[in-house]
Formats: sequence, structure tokens, C-alpha cells
Amino acid sequence: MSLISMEFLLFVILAAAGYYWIPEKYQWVWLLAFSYIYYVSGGIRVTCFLVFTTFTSWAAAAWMEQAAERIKDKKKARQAKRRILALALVLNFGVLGALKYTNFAIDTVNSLFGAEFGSLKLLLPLGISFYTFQSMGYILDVYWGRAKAEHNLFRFALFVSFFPQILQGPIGRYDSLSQQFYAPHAFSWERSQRAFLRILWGYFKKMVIADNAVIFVDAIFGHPDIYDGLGIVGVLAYSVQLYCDFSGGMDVVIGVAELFGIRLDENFKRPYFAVSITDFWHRWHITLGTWMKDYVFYPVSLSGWMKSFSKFAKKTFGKQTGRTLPICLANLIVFLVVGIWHGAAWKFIIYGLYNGLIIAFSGLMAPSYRKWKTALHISDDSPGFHLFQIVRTFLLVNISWFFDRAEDVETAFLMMKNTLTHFNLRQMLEPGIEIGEASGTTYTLAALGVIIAGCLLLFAVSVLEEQGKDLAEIFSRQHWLLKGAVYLGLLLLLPALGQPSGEAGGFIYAQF
Amino acid sequence: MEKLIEILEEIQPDADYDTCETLIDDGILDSFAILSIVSELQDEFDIVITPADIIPDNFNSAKALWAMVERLQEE
Amino acid sequence: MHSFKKILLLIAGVLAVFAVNFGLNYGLIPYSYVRIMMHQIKTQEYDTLILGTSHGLNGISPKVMEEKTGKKTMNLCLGGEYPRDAYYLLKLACEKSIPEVVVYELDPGYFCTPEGQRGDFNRIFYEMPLSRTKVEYFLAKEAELDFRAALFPWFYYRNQFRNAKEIIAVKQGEDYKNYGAEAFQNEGQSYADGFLRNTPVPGMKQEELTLWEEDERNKDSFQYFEKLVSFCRKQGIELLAVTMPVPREALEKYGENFQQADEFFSEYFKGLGVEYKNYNRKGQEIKDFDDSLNAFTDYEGHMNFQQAEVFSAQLAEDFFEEKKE
Repeated sequence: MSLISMEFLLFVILAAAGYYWIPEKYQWVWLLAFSYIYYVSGGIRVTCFLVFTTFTSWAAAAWMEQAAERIKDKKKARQAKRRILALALVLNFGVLGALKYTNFAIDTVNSLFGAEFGSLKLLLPLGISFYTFQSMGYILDVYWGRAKAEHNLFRFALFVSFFPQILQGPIGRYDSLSQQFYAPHAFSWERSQRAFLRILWGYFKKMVIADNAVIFVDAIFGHPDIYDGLGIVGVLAYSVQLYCDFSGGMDVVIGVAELFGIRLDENFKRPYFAVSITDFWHRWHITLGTWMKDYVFYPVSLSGWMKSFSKFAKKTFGKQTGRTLPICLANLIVFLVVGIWHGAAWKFIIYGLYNGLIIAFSGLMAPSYRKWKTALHISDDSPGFHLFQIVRTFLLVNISWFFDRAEDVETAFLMMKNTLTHFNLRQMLEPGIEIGEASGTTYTLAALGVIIAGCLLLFAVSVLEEQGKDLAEIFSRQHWLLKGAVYLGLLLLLPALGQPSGEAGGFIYAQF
Repeated sequence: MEKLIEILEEIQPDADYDTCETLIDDGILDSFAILSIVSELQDEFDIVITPADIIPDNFNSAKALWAMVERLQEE
Repeated sequence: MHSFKKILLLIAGVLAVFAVNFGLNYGLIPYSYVRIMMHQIKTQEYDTLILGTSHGLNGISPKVMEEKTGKKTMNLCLGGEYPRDAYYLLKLACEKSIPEVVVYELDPGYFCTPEGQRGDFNRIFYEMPLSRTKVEYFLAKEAELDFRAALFPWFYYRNQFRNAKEIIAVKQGEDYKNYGAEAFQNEGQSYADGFLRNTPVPGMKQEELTLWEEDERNKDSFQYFEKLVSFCRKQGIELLAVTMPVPREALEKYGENFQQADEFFSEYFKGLGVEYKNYNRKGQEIKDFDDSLNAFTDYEGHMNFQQAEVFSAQLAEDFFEEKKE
């Protein structure tokens, strides 16, 4: 059930209407039922995987808690918990890895050793990486004593399967979500209006901006030989598409959850205003970033072997570098994982490492930067320097998008090279090789105009939000006639200016 | 406590550690800084910091950090 | 009281959307022969129904079939009509009367591609009169689509804003009110005698066509075709399947693929107990038929109206004459 399908709208309306009609103490049961209907509508077989993760996570957490109470000796108790944790992690990440990476492994073995193993047809349950990450985060929280184990299997099942977020996140945390799920929620006009605006805005970003940008992205990245002069247009269009597709989807998801009185974590905070790659990852797919930080970066950094490496590094390279080096290494590991998470292909591994290397490099160089800035009298607060940082970061991010979107590593490099050497905007108007031919939609100036107008609107909204204004709140105080006009306008713009959202009607991140 | 402030100032000089209580919430300490501090604290005070200890409550102020160090020294 | 006002505003808002939407649908969506088809199956009783794709719409003349067989015949083929659509079209027709025979025109391409946004895919729902079948069809198909398909049908015709004046003029004319076909009498292509009559155009012909790929089978297409089969069986309707001839040039170019498709579907239909004739098979002759590219619009096999009439006569003979004997 895609987020843009008719059935999804009807499903949400039905779920929300019933939610406020039944007694409040059963609201979470209602949500659980609808979440499972949602998931089962995507296939019974894939639901088995969801049930598996739900059950093993629930059982592992309860078991750990029981072990801690039963075993008096602290050290032994810790060992027991550790074994349970390891088992649950291996089982769940094992399933995720097997489903997502078996074919990549087969291909790699084939190309390395000239073998000819056939690839397997594997099921990929909807949102498997999102719900697996969410559940594993919970187990680790219980292991570290940050969260209490949930005893009621059904309550826990709602945390894993909550339907708005299961498809493409945000990756939630048990402590914040559990409090909301099981609390009573009374209907609120204000909240519903806010949610409705958020949903419309999300569809606008997806259908009007992202889906118009797709025309250019698909044409240029699909035919880098024909459009060799347009690499820069392609990558800019992709940066627009990816942001509007993913964050637009998030707006819909967060808005739908808000209809039920559930506040999900924000996943985007105006990423293209970031002043560094580190800052970018604090603003882009935030819940993945914090998940990686809490459950991969810190544990790896604080692990025993990392400590030994730290001692060795401090002796060899001096105190400061020796201290930073292990952190850089842990950071590289995190981004390797982020890269692999994006997909089973070398280009994604390079995409991840590229991000990791930049962050590691600026981490190592931080003390030197500080000295240089003092020497050159550059202040972090000056508008000029701030703008320089934003532009520099945007450029670095766009380089990474080449790896993300191009067919393979080779094409990515070729396109980047062509961008510098063959730049030729006139190709956009050359007859015969119309952009968009490949995607079935012919390139029109109108599409370009829509993208630009849409981006200007998005930019204006982002600037205001960056200044800390709560636009939805300001909007809610306007006259009802103005509000009605905005709702109606946004709604009609979806068909008037939007493009059909591809054959599958899906979002880029819905397949992870 | 003095030693702690010394470490903090060496790693991230642009902050007032005597009064600031939002080192994490306001993003003054990023994850690199946090781990650098952890690394120094472990060496200096001979303690073991685990991922479970890395929560905002323990890092938001110099006072909180010192409380954590003292607690871990006792264990 | 406060709440009451809000509900009132909400209703007013919904009504405003409906009003604007109605206007846009009226002004942007051109008159289509799909409307005529819907009207006819809702008001008349047919003995023979033809379901299928654009090939069938171009290549089967119900008038010729009627003359040959003496059975009242209706062509319900449409570009973009997948088995799912065909199934519900048949159900809709059966709300009025149950035909004796259904001829399913098979294009293997529709069994190995996803149901995309092509041809009249959204038109069928839009023009379908409110009925039990329409509700079923909505749940089976429309609900899965982008919500704009059901809520804003003008979405697919928004580029027509320049022609709005003419579209509205046509819709206000007598012909539209009487479900006439005057609006579709264009040079090159016209809707008359119950099918789409192509006039040959000299020059380059589109070479691309969707070939049969067994690995890419569209599960839904097969599932709905099988539903169609069992529906016909339950209603006592005889179901026949046919694949239209393509130009000789296409056969020469993709002969092997056509043969694979023929083998696959012959086997498939045999299993279902459905009689199947494939006019690209060797030995399946059509009398006086010109199978050169000149008589077609493209390699895919959209034929001109003279060939369509010749072919329809042959089809009537092959399917119906034999049975009389």
C-alpha cells in the first residue's frame, strides 16, 4: 500500500475515525490491528519476518531482564545478558543481511573467481531495515539499562509495526514512542489541521517537486553518453529529487502519525543549509544518523580492541592525533555500514566511505583549522564565512550524489569528469535528444519552471524554519478563508503541476 | 574536578564549563569531542566508560561529568 | 457549537473541492468513445462481446462479425485494457445481459508488463456508470493507484487546457447527449461501426513493440484472466481467445519470440480449456489479407480498417462457422 495510493488515504481515514470513536484504553490495540492489516496487505509471507523480529526482540529483552534478576553474581549476570544479546543480534541482522546481501555476495564471488552461481529470488519484506534497526536499538537499550523490557508482547508488537513509519522510518526509540502509544489520545482539531497541512506539504514536495525532477534525473543519469554536458543539471536535479522525495514522504508519515496523536522523530532539518558534512548528517536522515551514533559509533569506539589501538596510537603519534585516530576509524566503520545499508553495490560503499573520510579528515584537522581561523581572523559567525561553509558542504554532498545515483562507480567518475570538461547547457534544448524520452515524459520548459518555482517556495519556507519560526503554528492563527484557500490550492496543485509518480508509485526509500 | 576542566578546555576551548549546563543539548560537544573526552577520562582517572554511560544527562555539564567519574571510580 | 461550526466549514471545504473538480473534469477531459461503449452495454443486449487491447479495437469490426454470424456483437477492446479491466467490463455488461460468447483478444505483452499508465487505463473507471461492478472495480484497481487517478481524473488531461473551449463545446452538443460518434471522425482514425478505423499512413513505422517475456509474467494478469474464465463458465458463456496478426516484417524480425509466446499460451489455454487461435501461427491463414507493413500503422500490429474488415470476416468464419456445422 503505497503512501500515495487511494487505498492508503481511505485506510488512514478509516483508522483515524475509529481511533477516536472507540474507548481510549483500546486505542493502542486499534493501532496494532491496523498496522498488521497494513502489513499483511503487502503479503502474508513477508509478515512472517516481521513477526519473527518482533518475537525474538521481545523475548530477548524479557530474558535479559530475567537473567539480571535471577543471577546474583553481577559479572555472571552480565555475561548471560551478553550472550542473549549476541544471539538476538545475530539472528535478526543475519536475516536482514541474508535477504539483502546474498545476491551481492554471489555476484562478487562470481566476478572474483569466475564462478557461475545463479542469483536467488529473495523476498524483501517492506521496511525490513527500518523495523530491524528499531527493534535492535530497543534490545541494546534494555541491555545497557536505558530502557525497561516490555512484558506485553502485543504492546511491543505495535512499537515494531506502527504502520505510518514502518515503510521508510523515521527509526523510533522505545522510550519516547512507548509513552505515546499507550497513553489515551483525545481528538483535537488543532492537531488534525496541523497534520493535514503537513501531509499536503509532503505530497506537494513529492509529487510536484521530486517527480518533476525525476524527468531530468532519469534522462541524464540514464544516458550519460548522450547528455554528457548536463552532469551538473542531473546532479542538481537529483539533489532536489532525493530531498523532496524522502523528506516529503517523511512529512506524510509524520503527519499521518500526528492524526493519531503520535509525534514521531523528525528526520530532516533543512540539510542543504548544513555547514559541514558532520552537520549534514545531523540534518539528513537524522534518525539513521543518531541510531548509528548510539548503537555503532559509541560501542565500537569504546570496545576493548579500540582501547588497545588508542593506547598504541597515542604512543606512536602523540597525544592529540593518537586520541583522534581511533575515533576516525570508528567513524569510517559507521559510514561503511551506512553505505552498505544504502544498497548492495560498490558505489554505495564508496558513497559511505567518501562521507566517512571527509568527516574523519575534518576531525583530525579540527585543531589546525582552529589555529588557522584565529590567525586569519575568521569568525564562525560572520555571514560570509557561514555562506562559504554552506556552499562548500553543498558541493561536497553533490559529489556524493554522483555515487548514489549513477549506474556504477565508473559512470559516476565519468560523469564527474564530463561535468568539468564537457559542460554544455545547450544540450537541454537540442532537438532529437529530448530529455525525458527515456522516462516516457518529454522534457518541457514547464517542468523546469515547476521545479524552480517549487524550490523557491521550499527555500522560503526553509529559511523561515531555520530562523526558528513554527510556520504551522503561524498558519493555524490565520483567517479560516485564507487557510481554506491554502489547503485547496495545495491540493489542486498536486494534479495540476505534479507528475505521475512512476509505475510503482513508490518512494525511493520505501524499498530499504 | 580541576583536572577535568583542563581536559575539557584542551579538547573544546570555546565553552564556559563552569556555568554551561547544555553542552550536549546545544551541540557544543559533538560526538568526536565526546569520545575524545571519554578517552582522556579513562586514561586520567583509570575508569571504564561503557556505551550505556554515554547519555546527555552525563555530558551536559562539567558537574555531571564529574559525578559520572566519581561514580565509576567507586565501581 | 464551536465544533459544529468547524464541521460545517469542513463540509463546505469538501464541497468546494468537489465543485472545482467537477468543473475541471468537464472542461479538460475530452469526449471519448469509452463513454459510448459504456452506454451501449448498459442499454443494449449483446450476443458476442470482444474484450482485449488496442489491437482488437483496431482490428475487429463488430459490424462485419454481426453480418457474418447473425449475432449482435460489441467490441470492448481498449488500449491499456489489462485482463483485470476486461474482467470488470464483462461483469458490467452482464449486469444488463449475459452474452453467449466472449472473444478475448490476447496481446502477450499485457501478460508480462506491469499495469502502467497507458491508453485508456483510467478512462474505464471514469466512464463506468455507478453500479455494483464499479464499486468492485474501484476496490480491485483504482484503490491501488495514485490517489489522483480516482480523485482528480483531469490529472491525466491537464495539458488539454488549451482545448478546453472545444471540449466544452462538444460536451454541450447534441451528439454528446445522444452518445453519438461524430466527434471521432478524424482523418487517419475514426470510431465507426463499433471499432477504431485506421487509415494507412505512408512513411516510417514505429518498430518498437513489447515482446513476450516468460520471466516477467504479470501475476495479476494471469489471475484475472483465470477469474474471467471461471466467471464465463459459471454464467454459461463460451470463451474464445485470439491473437491478432502482425505485419510480415515483424514476424521476420521477432519470429522466434512470437513462436515462444504462441507455445506458452497455447499450452496455457489448453490447460484452461479455452479455444485459442493465433493468426501469427503458420497455417492459420486469412483469406485476401495483406500482411505487409503498408497495411499496418506499426510493427506491433495495429492494422488499417480494410484489413480489419477482411480479418473480422475470417475470424467470424473460423470461430463461428465451424460450430454451425
